[in-house]
Amino acid sequence: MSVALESIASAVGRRYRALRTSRTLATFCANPLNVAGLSIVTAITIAAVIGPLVAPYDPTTQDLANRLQGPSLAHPFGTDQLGRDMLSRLLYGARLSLGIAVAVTGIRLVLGTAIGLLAGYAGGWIDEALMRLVDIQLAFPGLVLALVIAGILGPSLRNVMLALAVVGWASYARLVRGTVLATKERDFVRAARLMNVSRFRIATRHLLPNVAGPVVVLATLNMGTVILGTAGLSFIGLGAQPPTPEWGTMLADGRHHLRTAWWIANVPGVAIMCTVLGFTLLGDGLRDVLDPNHETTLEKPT
Amino acid sequence: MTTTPPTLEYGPDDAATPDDEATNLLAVENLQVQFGTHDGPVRAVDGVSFSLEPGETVGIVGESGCGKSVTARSIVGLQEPGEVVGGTVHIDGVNVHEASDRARRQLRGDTVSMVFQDPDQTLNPAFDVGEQIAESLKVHDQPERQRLLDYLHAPLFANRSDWRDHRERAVELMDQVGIDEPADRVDDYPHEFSGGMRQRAGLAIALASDPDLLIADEPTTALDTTTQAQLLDRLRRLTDERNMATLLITHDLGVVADICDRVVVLYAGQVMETGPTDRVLAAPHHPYTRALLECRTSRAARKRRVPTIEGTVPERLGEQPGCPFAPRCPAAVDACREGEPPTFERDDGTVRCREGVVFGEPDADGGLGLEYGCGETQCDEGDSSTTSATASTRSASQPLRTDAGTDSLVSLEGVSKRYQQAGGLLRRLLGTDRSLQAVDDVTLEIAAGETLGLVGESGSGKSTLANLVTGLETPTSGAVRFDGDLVGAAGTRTAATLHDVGVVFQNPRSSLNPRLPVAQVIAEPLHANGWNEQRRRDRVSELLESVGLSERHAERYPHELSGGQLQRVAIARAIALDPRLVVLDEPVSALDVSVQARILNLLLELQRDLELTYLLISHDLDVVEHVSDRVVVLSNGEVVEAGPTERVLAEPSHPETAALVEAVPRLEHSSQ
Repeated sequence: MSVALESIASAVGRRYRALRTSRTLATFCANPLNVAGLSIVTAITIAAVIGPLVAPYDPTTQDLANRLQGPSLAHPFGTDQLGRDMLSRLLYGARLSLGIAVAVTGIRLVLGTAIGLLAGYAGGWIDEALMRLVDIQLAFPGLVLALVIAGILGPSLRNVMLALAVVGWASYARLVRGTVLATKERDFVRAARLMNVSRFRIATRHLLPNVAGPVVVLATLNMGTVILGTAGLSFIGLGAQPPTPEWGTMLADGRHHLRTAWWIANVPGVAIMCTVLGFTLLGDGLRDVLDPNHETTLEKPT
Repeated sequence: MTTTPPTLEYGPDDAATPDDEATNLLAVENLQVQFGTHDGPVRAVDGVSFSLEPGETVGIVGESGCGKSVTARSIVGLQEPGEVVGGTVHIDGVNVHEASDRARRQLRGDTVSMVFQDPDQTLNPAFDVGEQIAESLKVHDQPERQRLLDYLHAPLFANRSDWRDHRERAVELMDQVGIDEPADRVDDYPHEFSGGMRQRAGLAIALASDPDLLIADEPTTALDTTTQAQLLDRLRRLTDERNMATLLITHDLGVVADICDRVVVLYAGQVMETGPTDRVLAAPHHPYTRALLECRTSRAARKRRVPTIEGTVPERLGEQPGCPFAPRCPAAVDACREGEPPTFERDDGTVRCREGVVFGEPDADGGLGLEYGCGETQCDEGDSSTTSATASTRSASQPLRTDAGTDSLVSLEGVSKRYQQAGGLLRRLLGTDRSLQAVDDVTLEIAAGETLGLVGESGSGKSTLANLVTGLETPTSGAVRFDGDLVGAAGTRTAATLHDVGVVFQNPRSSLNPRLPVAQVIAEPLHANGWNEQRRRDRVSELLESVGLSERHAERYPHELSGGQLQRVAIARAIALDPRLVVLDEPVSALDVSVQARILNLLLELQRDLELTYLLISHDLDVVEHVSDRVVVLSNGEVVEAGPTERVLAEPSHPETAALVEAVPRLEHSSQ
């Protein structure tokens, strides 16, 4: 027990020291755009987490007396055609959008990484078969396929999630396979083979951590596109159903009142734009610091 | 080009260039270059002064991190991302760092050329070699005519006759730098060239502008010994023919002895000693120069400890008083640590050391009266608390030798390895399938307890042979036996056989997983063998101690350690399961001379303590000679000579061996 505690403590200390002395962090913070991306993503995440606590109204309660109110102190972002508070809907929407983005990206990442790792490490016919599967997936137009899947399964958020997850994993598989092919020829993997380390352990302990960098970058960039995709599918009515406060649905509602109540469409629109921009900037910043080619600058001279 | 170059443009305030320096082709005056880090500026070059006359060859030597390359790059204005904060560099009378971009470009086009260390990265893979040499010629001929269309190499727009003319001169240049059949090779792309050929092509590009000054930054470090010897020979001839001044940056004192007229010894960005090569190598005045010379394995008796310089080159952050070498200097006194060391001008060079006051004239025989590196294994980082308890009790005079056993541990019987090359379906149908014979019918035995050295040029099949022994490759024909049992690929070997063979790879950076801390790297083979947490932990601390690392290194990640420390970690991992055979694939060739000596000492100690058998692969004959009992010489995958080290290296019977021995640059050439 004490041994385990000790090892946890030492691991935490190690991470902390690595973070504190990290030139990676310094490099990341050197570019203001990276910091901006990180701030936007952090802000949205916080909003999503504490949204229900700070939201002034219930997002689905209608108040027809106060419909189509412009931004005011009582309703900072105005109200929609049913008198619901836009700020509350926006905050609850952030939960949904971000949650779906994380779930979809998670499924894609796990599925894609597993397939890529297996293909790259096993090689031979397994590699061939899996990569042809990837080719098939990539040959389908992603959003159209998602449309079809969502159409067949019926409109609901869960089905949108499934549809988006099924079409996006192939790029992860390709990326991971490529990195694994390069990494497995490196001397430390050869050394592990000579030390009688099991294949599973080589894959999980030696290969996986070394492909993590590019995968994290791809996942971050992907979050933005998933949010766009979810909003898009909801916009055309295949995703979240009213009265669920989802950004895409809110956008769709607002388009009938563009002339009279501009805020209904613009508030979720700007939120979507900011979120996607935030993730893209963060992803670019992470690429700068996590790209293996940059690692050489972190090494000490002999 | 033998006349003194005319003074071009001296500014009125250019007081730093008195008249007597007007003959200097290159004058570096108190140069200071800093690099900004988040800990503050690091002084990479700290007041370096030296000069070059036309036709002279000067070597800059020092360990890595001493500021050699930064100095060289600053001379041509390529110091980015560093910043020149003081001092001047005059080439041909032009102040490089104050000159306009245009003047500087002209200087680079006409007067100075540079050859870089890594031949793989100096050539553009997208153009053929002839084109790249021709480009350099063109820039030299018509510096003003650098139109975009000329560079697109669009046949319609480019001037064909000019192109052909440059092409012909490129062929001539390739011939001069020693590329065989240049007319056939001119259309080849860089990837079709070998490393040595690429470096020659880089030299041809540098020579294309007919420079007065050639700066060569470690030009032969990436090459094997024979290629190095050929290239140095070529360089010497070319500088003589063209009366070209050469500034050679190197860490290898043998190379300096071979071709340099004068030497500048750099340490921590400061000039420690200058003087004629013969004098500096035979009777060095500065303790650092002496220590560098002592580290060379060729100077030590076989299988004995090589003297080492403890500690590492400091990173000079902020103001630090005293001589930068004082913490590592065996002769340092309190005054060295407090005040700036004085620089003495002598008739045979300068020396920046207080010792000049204390000792006066050094001994004529080189003044090696000081003791370096006692019988202790010490950590690279200069933390003297990390002392191997077992090693420190041993006296340095005792030879580190194990009695070679007689039973053979590994035997290779008629082993061959072929690689299929470019085997497409079409080629197979046409029957033009090419294959490469990497190892051809090799029969050899490694006796228990001995050290077998495997030498040969690069591409002679050394590493393939090692991989056959370890099981990373399987032989196309023949048998590999370990302890009498037939063994195959690593995947098919029993756990016991795998434990009996440890491997240390050439590059410690790539052989350790960058994402795991040191303790886990070393514990990896133990984990694979099913040891429990507590046992693993005990064994790791035991191993760390035996390779001379302290407990606090255990939690570090590989990028936090220096090259020598990493190689120690790799050695600890290799011996974790008490193997009987350790395969050392170029274990020290990626390391500095002083670190190299420490790793070799460690390997010899471990061999004696643990009764290990070594298979040592190296292209460095000095290393092989120092460590091995027997030597096997490989050429084109075949064993051309085998026998006891002394006999083979002293009286080589095969021309290939003779060529290898001949190619080693030795200090003794110049001093005797």
